[in-house]
Amino acid sequence: MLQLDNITFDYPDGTTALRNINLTLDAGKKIAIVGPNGSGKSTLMRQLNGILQPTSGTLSYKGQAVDYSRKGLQALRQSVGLVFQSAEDQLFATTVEEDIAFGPLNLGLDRADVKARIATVADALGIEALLARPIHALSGGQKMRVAIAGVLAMHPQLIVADEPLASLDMAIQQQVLNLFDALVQDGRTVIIVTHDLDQAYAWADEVIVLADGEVQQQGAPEAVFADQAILDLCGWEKPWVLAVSQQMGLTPAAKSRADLLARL
Amino acid sequence: MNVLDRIANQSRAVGYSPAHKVLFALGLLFVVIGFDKIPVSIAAFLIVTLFTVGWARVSAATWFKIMLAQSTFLGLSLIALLFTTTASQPADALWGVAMWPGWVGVTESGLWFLGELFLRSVAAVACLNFLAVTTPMHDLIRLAQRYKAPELLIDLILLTYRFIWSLYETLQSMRTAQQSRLGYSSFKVGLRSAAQLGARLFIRTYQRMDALNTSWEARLGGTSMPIWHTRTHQAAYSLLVTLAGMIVLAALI
Ligand SMILES: Nc1ncnc2c1ncn2[C@@H]1O[C@H](COP(=O)(O)OP(=O)(O)OP(=O)(O)O)[C@@H](O)[C@H]1O
Ligand SMILES: [Mg+2]
Repeated sequence: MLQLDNITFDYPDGTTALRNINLTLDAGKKIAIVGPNGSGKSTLMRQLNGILQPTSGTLSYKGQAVDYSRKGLQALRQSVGLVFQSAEDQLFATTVEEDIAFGPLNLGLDRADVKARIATVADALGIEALLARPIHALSGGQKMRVAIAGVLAMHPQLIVADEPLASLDMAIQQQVLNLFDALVQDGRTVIIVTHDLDQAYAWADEVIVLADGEVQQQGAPEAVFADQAILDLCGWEKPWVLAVSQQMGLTPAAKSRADLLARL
Repeated sequence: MNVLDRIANQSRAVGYSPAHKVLFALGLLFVVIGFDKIPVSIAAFLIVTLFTVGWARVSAATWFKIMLAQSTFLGLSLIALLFTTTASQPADALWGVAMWPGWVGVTESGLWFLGELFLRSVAAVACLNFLAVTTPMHDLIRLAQRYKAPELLIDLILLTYRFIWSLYETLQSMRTAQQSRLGYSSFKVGLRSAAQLGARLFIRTYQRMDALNTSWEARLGGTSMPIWHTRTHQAAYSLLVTLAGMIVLAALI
C-alpha cells in the first residue's frame, strides 16, 4: 500500500538519518520496526505521512507518488495516522473528549458520527472514565492511550505508532495489541516501533530492522531474528521464545509464550 | 493558574452552567463598581463567599487564603493613597506635617475614601475569584466559542492555556531532576542551576511548540480548533436570582 523507493533524508544540520530506504508496506499486515537508539525509526515514521519530506527518493501511496502540496498531504494524512513517541507533545485540546474529537471533526464528520467514534475508541482503549478529564490531569500511560484513540478515531488505513507500548502496563499493552489485531483483520495495516524484541517476535507478521539509517532486513520475525549477523550488528539477544524453540528443535518455531508452553 | 484550575475542577459548581456563573460574577462585579457604596461592597463579598463555600463547596480555608494573599497585595498598593496633600491643614486632619508649600498628612475623609476603595477592590477581586475557583478554563473557552468570540482569540487562549501547562510540567520535572542531583544545594550552585533551567526551558518551549504543531497537522488540523462541547450543565438559577436581588438592593440603598 505504501512504498518507499530509495529514500534518503538529511536533517537541516546535515545529519543523514535515512539512507537509500526501500520498503513495501502491504495492507492487512502487522509490522514491527526495530532498531538501536538513533537508528532512524522515528525519522522513518515521519516520512510515512509526509511530516518530513525525503531529501531524495519517492514515497508512493497505492502506486501513486505522494504529492506534497497541501491538498496531497491532506489526502495522505487521512490514510496514514501517526501516533508520536511523546504523548505529551500530541495532545492540545483541554479535555480528553475534545482531543479525540479533533481529528474526526477535521474530517468534516457530523456530530453524531463523531460522538459514536469517540465512544467506540474510548471503549476499546478503556478510557471512557477519563473523557471529561483535563489532559494535564492524566498519567503518562493514560496520555498515550488518549493519543492512540485520537488517531484511531480518524479510521486511517495505516496506523503508524512510535513506541506506543513503552509507557503502558502489561494488561493494557495486551489490550492495545488485541485492538491492533482487530484492525488488521479488518484489512488495515498497523506499524509499530518497539524496543521489545520478544513482543515484536510474537506479534508481528513482518519485522523491519533499521540500523544506522539503513534497512538491514525485512521479513518474517522467525527469519529475521534467526539471523545471527543482524543480532550481532545491533547487539541484541535472540527473542527467548525463538531461542528455546531452536534449542528444542521445534519446527516451525513456537510463535508465542503460550504456543511454546503448549508444545512443551 | 495550576492551583485555581484544580480547585475549579474539584468544586461542586463544575457541573453548573458556566454562562450563569459568568453572568453572576461579572454582574456582581458591575454592581460593586457601579454603585460604589461600602454596604454594597461588603454585601457582595459576603454573598460571593457564601456561594463559593456553601454552594460550590470550595473549602473556606482555601478561599480565605486566596483572598488574603490578594488583599494584602491590594492593601500594599493602596498605601500611597493614605496621604493627602493640601494647601493648608484640613479640619479633619488626624496626623500630618506642614511642609512648604502646603500640608501632607492623613485625614479622616481620606481614610474613608481609602477604606471604601479597599473594600470595593476586595469585593471586585472576590467576584473574579469566584469564577476562577468554580469554572475550569476549558468551560470558559467553550463559552467564548459558543458566543462567537473571534476565532483567533479563542485559538490563542487555547494554545496558551495548553502551553502554560506543558511549560509548567516541563519546569517541574526539570527542577525535580536538578534537585535530585543536588542542583540547589547552595546559593551559588542554585543560581547556576536556575540559569541553566531558564535557558533549557526556552529551547524546550520552542521544541514543544514545534511538536504540537506537527501533530496538529498530522491530524489534519486546519486554521482553528473545531468546536466540540458535549458536557451538559445544570442551570444555576440561585445565582441569577441572587444577582437580581443584589441589583435591586443596591439601587435602594
Ligand atoms: N531534529 C533533528 N535534527 C538533527 N538530527 C536529528 C534530529 N532528530 C533526530 N536526529 C538524528 O537522526 C538520527 C535518527 O534519529 P531518530 O529520532 O529517527 O532515531 P530513533 O531510531 O527513533 O531512536 P530512538 O530509539 O532513540 O527513538 C539520530 O542520529 C539523531 O541524532
Ligand atoms: Mg524514536
